[in-house]
Amino acid sequence: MYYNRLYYLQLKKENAHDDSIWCCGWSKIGSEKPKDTENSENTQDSNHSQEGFENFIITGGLDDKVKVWQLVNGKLEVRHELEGHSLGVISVAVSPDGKTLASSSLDSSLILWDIASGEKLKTFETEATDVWTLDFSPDGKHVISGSNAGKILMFSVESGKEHQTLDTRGKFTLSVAYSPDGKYIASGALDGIINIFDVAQGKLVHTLEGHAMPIRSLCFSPDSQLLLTASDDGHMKLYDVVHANLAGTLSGHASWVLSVSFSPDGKRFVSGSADRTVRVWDLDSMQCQNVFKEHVDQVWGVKFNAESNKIVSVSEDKSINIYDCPL
Amino acid sequence: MSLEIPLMTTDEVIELDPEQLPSGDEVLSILQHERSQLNVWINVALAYYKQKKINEFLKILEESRVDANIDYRNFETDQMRALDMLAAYYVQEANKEKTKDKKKELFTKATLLYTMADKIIMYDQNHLLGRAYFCLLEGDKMEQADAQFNFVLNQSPNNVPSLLGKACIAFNRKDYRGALAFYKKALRTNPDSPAALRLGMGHCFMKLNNQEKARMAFERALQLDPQCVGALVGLSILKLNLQESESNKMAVIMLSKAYAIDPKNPMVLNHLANHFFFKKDYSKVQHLALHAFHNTENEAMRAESCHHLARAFHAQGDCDQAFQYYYQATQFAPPNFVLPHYGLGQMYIYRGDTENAAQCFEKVLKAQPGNYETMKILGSLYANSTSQSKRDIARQHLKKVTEQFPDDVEAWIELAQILEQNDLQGSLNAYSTAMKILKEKVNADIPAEILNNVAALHYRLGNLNEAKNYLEEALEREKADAETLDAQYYNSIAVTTMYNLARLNEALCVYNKAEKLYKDILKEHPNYIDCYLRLGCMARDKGQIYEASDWFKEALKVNTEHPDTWSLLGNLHLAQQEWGPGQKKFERILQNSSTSTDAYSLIALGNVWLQTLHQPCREKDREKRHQERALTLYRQVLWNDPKNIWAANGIGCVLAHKGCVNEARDIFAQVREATADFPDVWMNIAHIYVEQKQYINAIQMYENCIRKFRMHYDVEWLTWVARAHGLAGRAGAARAALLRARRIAPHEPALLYNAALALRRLAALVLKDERAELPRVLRAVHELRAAHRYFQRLATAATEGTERARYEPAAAAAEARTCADLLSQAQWHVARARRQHDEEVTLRDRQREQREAFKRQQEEERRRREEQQQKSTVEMLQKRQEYKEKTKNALLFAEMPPESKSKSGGRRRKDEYLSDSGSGSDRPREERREPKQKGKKKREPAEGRKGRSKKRREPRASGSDSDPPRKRGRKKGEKGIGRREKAKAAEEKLGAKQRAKIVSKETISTSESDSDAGRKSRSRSRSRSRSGSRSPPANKGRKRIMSASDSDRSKSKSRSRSRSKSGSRSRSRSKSGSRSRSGSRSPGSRPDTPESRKSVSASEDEN
Repeated sequence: MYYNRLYYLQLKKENAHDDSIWCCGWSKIGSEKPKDTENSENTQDSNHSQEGFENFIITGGLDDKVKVWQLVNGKLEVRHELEGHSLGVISVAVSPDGKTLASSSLDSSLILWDIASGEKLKTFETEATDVWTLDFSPDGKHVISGSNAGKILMFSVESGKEHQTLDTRGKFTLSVAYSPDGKYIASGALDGIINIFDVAQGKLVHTLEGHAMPIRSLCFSPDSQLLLTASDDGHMKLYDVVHANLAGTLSGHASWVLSVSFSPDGKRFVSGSADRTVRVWDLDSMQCQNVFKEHVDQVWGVKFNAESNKIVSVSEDKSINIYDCPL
Repeated sequence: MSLEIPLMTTDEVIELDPEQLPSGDEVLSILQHERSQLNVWINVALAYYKQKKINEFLKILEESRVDANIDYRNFETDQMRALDMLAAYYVQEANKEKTKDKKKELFTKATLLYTMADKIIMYDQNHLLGRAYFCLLEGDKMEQADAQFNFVLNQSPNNVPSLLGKACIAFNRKDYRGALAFYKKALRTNPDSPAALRLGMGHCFMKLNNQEKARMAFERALQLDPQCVGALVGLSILKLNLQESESNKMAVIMLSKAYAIDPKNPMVLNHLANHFFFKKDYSKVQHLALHAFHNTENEAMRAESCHHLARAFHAQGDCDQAFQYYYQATQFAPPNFVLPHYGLGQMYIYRGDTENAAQCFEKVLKAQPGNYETMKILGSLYANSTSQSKRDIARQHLKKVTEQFPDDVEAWIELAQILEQNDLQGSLNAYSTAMKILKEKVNADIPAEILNNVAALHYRLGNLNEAKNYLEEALEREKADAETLDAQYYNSIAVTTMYNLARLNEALCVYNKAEKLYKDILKEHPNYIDCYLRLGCMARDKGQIYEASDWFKEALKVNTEHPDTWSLLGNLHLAQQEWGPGQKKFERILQNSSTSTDAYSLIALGNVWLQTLHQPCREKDREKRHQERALTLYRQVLWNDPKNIWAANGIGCVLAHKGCVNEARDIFAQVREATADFPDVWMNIAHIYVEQKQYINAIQMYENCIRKFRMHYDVEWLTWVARAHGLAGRAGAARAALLRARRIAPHEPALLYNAALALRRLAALVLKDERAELPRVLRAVHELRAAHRYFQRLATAATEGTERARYEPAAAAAEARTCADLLSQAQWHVARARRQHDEEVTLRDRQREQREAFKRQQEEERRRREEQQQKSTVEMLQKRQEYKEKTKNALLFAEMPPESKSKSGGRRRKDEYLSDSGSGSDRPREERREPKQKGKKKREPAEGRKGRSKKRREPRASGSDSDPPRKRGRKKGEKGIGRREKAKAAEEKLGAKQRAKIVSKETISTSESDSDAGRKSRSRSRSRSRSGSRSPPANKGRKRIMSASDSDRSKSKSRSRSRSKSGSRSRSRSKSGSRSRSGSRSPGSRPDTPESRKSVSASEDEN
């Protein structure tokens, strides 16, 4: 196994929350020209991005709080503490422009926040169903969530109401993902079934039965060609989205894989597991590049930053870790 | 000198030349005819004896007893002589005689004669001597002989024959110094004594370990008598002991000479046999040894001959013959001659009779403690023993061997193999030593078997990467060896190594590789059942139940009776809660005669019965029956294996079910003492604690257990923790635990129910609390609403029948109603809290206003004072000016400045005081206030804190501009005191106000809260009974069940793995073990004599 020496733990924030941290997100807001994030990133060097952009790390956990952090002088400082959830924050999702945050909690509440100001923008009406993991549509107009009856709920950001429902006719939908090209929505269920919906037609196009245990996380590759799934069976699988072919199976975690995330440059992905490790994988070779064993309890969430050179992980052990992952 | 036979009638004599005696009959007839006196007869007989004409000698003496003329004086002496002579002759003959019967006959004859002689003259010296020798030779009459010699020596102290006799006796009694003394005395008395005396001395010197003198004695004996066989043998032994080829040759020459002289001397024959054994001329060995055997009565000699024979056969590979002769040799052998036992032990090993073999080697070791070869063999014999004590002995032996010979690779390997069973690290160390020796000293490649075993050890110790390296090395070696050496053998080892590698990959979570390896193995070896099982287990752990089942069924095709397969299948069923089919699988195992006492199956079946206890059951009888069944099964296991902790755990569970909590606790405690690696027993102990209402202990136990076994994601365990927290009155902690569980398993209705229940209780608690502040109340109401929603959903979902209900929908509906009730009251509580909050806020506002007013007041005062001061200074200055004007030139200048200085100082102090009060002061005051408040009114701290924190921020902001930093901190104490008093006063004022309000409120709420409590308690009791039927025992029971099944190979990943792991591992171990043994250990397959063994090991060293 090839380990890259250059990976290292940049920062560890102990007791970042009062209790287990369950989810994390990474947001990047351009302070001057928010629209041009993509372009400026391509054209300008990192110097500029440091000046013109603000990076936020968002975490949520059992203590009902969503915290917005910022990296200042190598230290993680709380910018906002967002209160309003109860029974534990399950999931946070950042809108594509990085400005808006959606968070969900076990009491079925779904709240939209403004990341920069920390203001509560909207509380969605969720009725009696559970909301679970969230994702934004690439246009930022919708938020999708898994739910208890196997349905995928689509909320309109504007109206704050349930806009559409996609029914998997399966078990509890533990994870959802919106493809970056906006064409597909994928969902992973408790029984390991993965459903892929065509958004435009609003119908189910593929059902993947590769796993037999709960799918707690899944995500699309940045080019929307691949779907990465993480399951309690300790495996991850990569599927070709269009044809629903299995492109690869990755094993290495000794326990449930709780979270996966692609790097925005599409070269790597990261996984966090109940075996307390965070693993970074290379997409081309399908090999594990590095293993971080920095947490002392299960790792609930992992995320790459927009530059694909940093990873944040949060864990049951109440700490936030930030790793440096050179390109 | 000539013999004279006097003629009867005349005075003439017949002269006989002793050299040329006429024929016996002629002489006899003369003697008879002439009626010669007895002494003449005797002389004649003697002459014949000297001529070795024994027949004549005998005849004359026999006849003399009848025909001789004894009609003369002192005839008795001659009579004695005749008798003694004859007897002595018989004794001598008897001594030479080999056959027992004849010997006996001769001895009786001699006895008869001696007895006759006894009657004539008892104490004749010569007679006594003869008799003594007779006794000596007869063997068992040493004492008698000794007495007679002593008697003779008393009479004549220098009697040579008796001295020799005494020496002989002393020698036989192992008193070699004594013997030597007698010999020397005899030598002094008679310097010309025969070679035999020197020979005796030589033997004495030998025994006394004085080789040089022994050699001299033997040489002297040879000088005296070149034909002396004893001396030749003695000398040759001396030469042989020098262990030089030159002297060996000399020795052989001597032995051959001895053989030429006396071809029947067993000693010579044995030594020659020994010589030819080393020359590997086995037929000669056989011949000589056989001769020796037949030519001796001496058992020790016979033992030696037999041993030689056996060795010859052994070396020729005729193990049956060798066995017989070894056995015979052991029968003859004196206790200190242990070589035949060694040989016999080897034969037993060859025959596979390790017990007898071990006995043989024990004998050897007893005679020669610390013998390295023997210890090694015993070590390896005991290593395979089933009894632990014997294995311990083996370990000790091998340890000693390795200590004595730290370069003995074989011993290290043996030791490592023994230690594999219970001391992994020790075993690993032994292996690495062996490998080091192999590498450095022998310069040989390390055998693949050892690499494999080392890898297995690393694997078991958890050094997975090390293990991987070793396995890969082993595989390479096997491939190389398969090409150059025995292809079949090494390929078969390679399969084992591949399997181990696959297991390792599994442990490293590289499942793809593991799967591929297993499948590769199966391609080549479709009967490798473990691969099917592992593939099945991997599928099972992935949740692919059907695939797993398919693999297990494949395994069944290979072997329909494999108990592991059946139990894995059974466990699959049990995990799906299909009790019936699962039970059948295990029963099948038990029906098979070879596995009829399989502990695993028995416990699994016991667990099935235990499981039935957890479902609520209305019939008492049936419950009892099931308890008994479970108990019987566990008991059966314990009967077979008293140390089975899983069975003990099961019994504890049943006991707990029966309500024998204390007994159950004792059992669990014992089980946990036996092993700490068994999570279920921890859990059970915790359950017992809960049962005994020791909630804090229970919680600690649960949490320790969860931490130790990293079962943070086990929903069930979290539920138990939550329950313990709830019972202990820690509603918040219970809520957190349940939420954690919900995060993991959001779909679980039971969990939802429990979570809702916890929320409802917590909310009720908060609402009941009169002083709960607004945010808490609001949150509680919010959570209550969520709980209400949950209960409603549960009630409807259950009626729809979508989920299998683990709760009663009616209960959910009832809970929903309770929630609704509480919610309806909640409005009031919220209003109350809000009012309180508002009051608090207004109170605080007022306080703040007051404080600000006070501040303003002070500010004004200060300003006023400043103004005044300013005024006064102005005045002063004016005055001074005036004064100056007035007292110009009249007064000293220096008087004034100090005064003004001191004044200004005082002024400044005042300044500080005032300005400070406006800014930095309120912090300490606040801090001081907080505890006081708490103590007085027990106001909720959170509430106060909030208001306060807000307040604190304000003054700091305002104060910061006016507050010059350098002033802060000085004179705080002084200023503080004044302040505090004021604050207290204010507070007291406020407090009184507040208190009045609160009291009034209390009176209002008591009635309400009472009713509330009543309802709550009712609902709580209900819920408890519910949970009583469902969660506590159910959980406990279920967990217990799993516990036992877990424990072995069933449900949980880790557990199951460990069982099947150990099984397969032991398999691989035994395989490789036996292989390497056959490779390295000789006694099993290649029986050798010790000597040849040595040479073999030597040659190995050379390699």
